[in-house]
Amino acid sequence: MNEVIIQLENVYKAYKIGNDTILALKNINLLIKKAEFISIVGPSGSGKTTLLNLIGALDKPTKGKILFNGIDLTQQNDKEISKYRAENVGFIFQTFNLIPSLNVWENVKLPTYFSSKKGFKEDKIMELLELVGLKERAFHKPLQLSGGEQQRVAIARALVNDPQILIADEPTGNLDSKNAEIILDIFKNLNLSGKTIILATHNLKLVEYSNRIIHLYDGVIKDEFVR
Amino acid sequence: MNSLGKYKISISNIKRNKLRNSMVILAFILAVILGSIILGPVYGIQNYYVKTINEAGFNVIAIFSGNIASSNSYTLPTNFINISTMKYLENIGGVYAISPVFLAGYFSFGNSSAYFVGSNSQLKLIGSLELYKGSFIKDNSTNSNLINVDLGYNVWNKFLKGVDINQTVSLSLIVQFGFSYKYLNVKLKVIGLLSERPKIPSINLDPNNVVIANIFDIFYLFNITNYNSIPLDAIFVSASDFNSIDNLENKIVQVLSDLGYKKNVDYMIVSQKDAIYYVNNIFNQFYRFLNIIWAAILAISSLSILIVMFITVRERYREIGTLRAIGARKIDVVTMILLEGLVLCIIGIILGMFLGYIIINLLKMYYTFMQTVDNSTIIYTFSIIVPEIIASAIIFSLYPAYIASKVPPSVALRYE
Ligand SMILES: Nc1ncnc2c1ncn2[C@@H]1O[C@H](COP(=O)(O)OP(=O)(O)O)[C@@H](O)[C@H]1O
Ligand SMILES: [Mg+2]
Repeated sequence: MNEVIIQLENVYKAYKIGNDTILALKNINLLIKKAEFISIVGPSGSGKTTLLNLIGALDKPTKGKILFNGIDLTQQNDKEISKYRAENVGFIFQTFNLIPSLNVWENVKLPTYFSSKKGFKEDKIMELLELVGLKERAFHKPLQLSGGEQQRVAIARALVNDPQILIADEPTGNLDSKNAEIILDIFKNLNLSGKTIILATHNLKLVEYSNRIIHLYDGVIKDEFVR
Repeated sequence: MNSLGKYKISISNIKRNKLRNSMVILAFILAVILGSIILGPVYGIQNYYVKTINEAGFNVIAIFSGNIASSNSYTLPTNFINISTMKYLENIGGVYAISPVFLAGYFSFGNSSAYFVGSNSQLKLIGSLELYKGSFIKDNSTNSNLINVDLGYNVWNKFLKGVDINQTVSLSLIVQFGFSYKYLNVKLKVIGLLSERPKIPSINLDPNNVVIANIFDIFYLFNITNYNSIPLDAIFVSASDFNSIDNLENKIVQVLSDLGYKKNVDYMIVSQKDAIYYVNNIFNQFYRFLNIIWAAILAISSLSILIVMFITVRERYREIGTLRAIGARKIDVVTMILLEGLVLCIIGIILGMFLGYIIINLLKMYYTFMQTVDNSTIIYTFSIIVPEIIASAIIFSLYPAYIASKVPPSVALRYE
């Protein structure tokens, strides 16, 4: 269980706004092992989203390497990167980001269109909806659901291609504490079943669930501890 | 097959902004309707002209006496074409049939009149004449004062309504001598009735207003014994096939020149091919002009899809970012947006074709020139404009689609 799945080496990320350059991440070095449950904490603007986007290959670092199972993601083309996003990571956003014109079932199915993994069966969609407790809402549109329910659909969507890594960027930021707890319970169970979970939050209550906490401050890893 | 499922998003998106998408669909409906009612009649009229010229005869080369084209500066022929000229032309290789045309005068029927035409049996083939009943005139003269004639459609159907073959009719023939007229009573034996045939555009003589007789019978009637002293009005020659018309025309001009005839002074020569070429040439100029209008119509529908697809892409930045985050490639984003534009375009085209068809058929009731737009012309018109509309819709959706695919997912997801 000590296999490294993600490795960041001397990663920098700079944003250019006009003549100004914002260094959002500075010299990040990080090893993430299989089946870890990592919480990334830090104040707003500290670089959490930037870091998750780099791990999920939604963006490329200005400098440094990001390795997934030893393969450098920064060197990959659009086709390879898209395959990585579709098959190896499941992304969960603070704002859910479901496609409003599709119903719940179709939203969950969506990532399968972009995956070339074999063996997907449509039954799996209902199984996942059952896992997140929304089986009976399968044919509703996202806007007919509460925030907490939408986020659970997003989790089902993130799981449909059976990725090794789940990345969640403040997934409970828009939810009340009761719903937040439901989401966190799901994450905990997923982690127990072997998924690597990387969660960004500024809600310290959520940190309890994780087994490793990384404290980001102003683009650098200030400290980290393992429980 | 599974990968096609992503296009479900494109389709479901169309239902999302009904008003805006309806505007695009409307733009395409109008493009098809305007395109078909502007271009359809022109294609129809051109087809009608070409078809009529084609049906006017069998690979005909017409040699007219004098120069009827430049009547303003009319120079009298010094050398007239006559029966002996015809004998020279007969022997040219490639001549399939040849007929003299002698307008002996006309019969008056109230406001209308019919030409009394002297010719030979081959005129039937050259002029693509069809007999409704009876037989066509023969080549030898009967040397009798009772002249065998075939009646044009209007003559037996309107002017002499009820006349039948084998009947004898007495008519007063008006013959022009310089500036004076002479009336001559003639007795005609009807041997054939001709079917109706279309009028040749821009030629005044209505082929249905004719009484056709053997040319030598007419000479006999006029007591003419020296045939070669009589100028013919025209000689019609048929080439054996359409493609050899030009070649035969050149040979005829050569033979006539050897005989001392001056082109465009003593005679004028026109072929069916020239006529078709002339008609097509005029229409091609017209198309160049209409294409400017068509381009403007296309520009409007293209612009509408460009703007709407831009708005659509803008509005869905975050969704596009989401799709990219869950594994959609750039090319997936491009094809999804293109498909969305294409579906709007195709809905518009289908409705436009349907409405265009109805509108053209309504216009036919009020405008006779629209009659030329038959179903095959409508289909032809659609087959020209629809691919152009589709191509422009694709081209103008491509840019917004490209812009959408270029957006980094991380930025799109931040977009509010
Ligand atoms: N696309 C961007 N363009 C410019 N600056 C950005 C962009 N994304 C993030 N930043 C800046 O980078 C820093 C880190 O942002 P972010 O990673 O979103 O932090 P967090 O998620 O911890 O709130 C902030 O200063 C933010 O303004
Ligand atoms: Mg953030």
